[in-house]
Amino acid sequence: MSLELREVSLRLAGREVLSGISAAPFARGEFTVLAGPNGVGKSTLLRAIAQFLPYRGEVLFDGEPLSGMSPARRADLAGFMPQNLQSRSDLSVLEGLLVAMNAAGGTREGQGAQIRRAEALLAQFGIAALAGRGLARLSGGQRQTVGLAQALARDPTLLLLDEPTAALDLAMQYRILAELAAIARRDRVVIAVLHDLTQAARWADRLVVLHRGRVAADGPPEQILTPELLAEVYRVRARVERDGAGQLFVAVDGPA
Amino acid sequence: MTDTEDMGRLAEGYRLSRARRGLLVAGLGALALIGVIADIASGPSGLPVSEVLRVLTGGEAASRGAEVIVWRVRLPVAIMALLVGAALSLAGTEMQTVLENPLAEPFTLGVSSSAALGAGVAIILGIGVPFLPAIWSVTANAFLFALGSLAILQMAAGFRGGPTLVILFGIALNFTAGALLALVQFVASADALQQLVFWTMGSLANVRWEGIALVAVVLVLTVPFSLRASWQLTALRIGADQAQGFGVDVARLRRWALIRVSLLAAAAVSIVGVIGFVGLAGPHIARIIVGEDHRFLTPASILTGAVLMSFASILSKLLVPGILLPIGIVTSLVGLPVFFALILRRAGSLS
Repeated sequence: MSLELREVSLRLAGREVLSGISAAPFARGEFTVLAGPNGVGKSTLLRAIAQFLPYRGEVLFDGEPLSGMSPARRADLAGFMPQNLQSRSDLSVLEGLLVAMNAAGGTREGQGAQIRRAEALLAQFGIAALAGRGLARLSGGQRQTVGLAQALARDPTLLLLDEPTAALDLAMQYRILAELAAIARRDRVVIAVLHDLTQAARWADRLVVLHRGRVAADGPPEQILTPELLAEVYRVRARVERDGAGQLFVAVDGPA
Repeated sequence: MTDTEDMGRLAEGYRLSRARRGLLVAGLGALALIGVIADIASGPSGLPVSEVLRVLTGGEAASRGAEVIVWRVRLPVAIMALLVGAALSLAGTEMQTVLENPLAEPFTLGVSSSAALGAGVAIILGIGVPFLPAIWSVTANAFLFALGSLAILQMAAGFRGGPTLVILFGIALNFTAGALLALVQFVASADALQQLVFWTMGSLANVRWEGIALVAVVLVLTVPFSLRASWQLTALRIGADQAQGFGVDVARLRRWALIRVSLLAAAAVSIVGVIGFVGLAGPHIARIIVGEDHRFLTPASILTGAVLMSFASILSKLLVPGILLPIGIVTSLVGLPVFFALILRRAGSLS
């Protein structure tokens, strides 16, 4: 069970962005990467799942439609990290986390307990030193790490992340992806949009590739990543090979 | 080990900053109280503060005259200044937050000029709400026009395009209402024109208790909801996308905030006329004092607006001895330099 998509379709400004996306249930414990060319609807699909955009079809969690849930319950269930994390706010990182915990309402946790939990979250990502820093003064990578901590603020079962590693250096990419995989192991559903298919192959249990508003391929990365798929979806000539350590990697040699 | 020590200090620091901001809000409250008493004490026939306090607390006044001046003349004006300042500043705060623009306020987005147009239609063309006593027809018209302008902004908020579209609509509205008002003025008699000009300057000279009641009721109806939305409004300060991620229904938050703004701005402007600056400066000064957390910012900006208007009211009596200046002129003339000084100082410390 857990997250299910049934015939999710969505039009934006008169253009059909998603045309009937259905997928086998995303199980707890599974780290899924959502990939596909630019503008194919990955962010849109995440936003539809998070109920930010009106769509046709059904998004269910353990059989219950997310659309019918109260904002507080939905925020407890699903954490969302947007792609755009720019902020002009003077609030500190710590205050931002407290806002993330309280904005949807319905929390009974006391302020002291919330601060302790916020500190633990920051420590988990190695950014405890940023707690007092203003949100507007963070670097791109710091912003992304803080954004991830904010998405986890209500300890959600379902984690939706739009390009969580786009601005991160190699060490931070590793740290965040390992963390996401570890979070999934703790009985969470993690779905992240990633462009780097080598990283996806390294970390994801499941890869969903979108193409023209539909699911082009869906399964374990080592099974679905083929030169044929990459040629069709991305219009590139690519090799899918294994390195000395047996890790799958994708090398692009040119346009198809 | 040092890590946990650091964390303890962090929690402690947060608690301290919260207590500090709570105290600052209380200080603003005290300042507002002082403002009201000083407002009552100041005027052409000066009253000592001790006398004002004695009359207000029901004690024996030195003269019947003092009692009349305090209760009939000065107290209504002082309370009106307080309430109007509070209402405009709260409206400005919510507008700036939900439209994500530091320049948003009822004055810049055409609400005030629409109210002025409504007043002009009543004063000059004699067109107003039927069956209303004449003294209320101007207020009623201004109120309806202000609400109408906010309905247009509300509609703009409903389109895809977000807050920028609302701002553009507001600016267009400001110019349109201004042009229409000029048209109405063009056909006006000299007498009616003077009445209108006086109205558009913003004045506390003709305050009535019914007007005070209207603004007070609107504040009582809106403030609790503003405070309840504190976390959501703070989330929106971080960013609309992020707020949505935190589980805030941003469209709904915007809609309700604009409804509150409509009522606050329409009530304030329709009764005292066009008063700029307070709706812009109140929130900015409050933000400088307590920061962006709306749990503190909302009460702080309500109080800052009240304090600003109280002191503007005092200045309107003292600036030119013997003459009561329209308060709208005072807020702009005296307030703006102070405001810019604050902003520039802050900009200096940021860079």
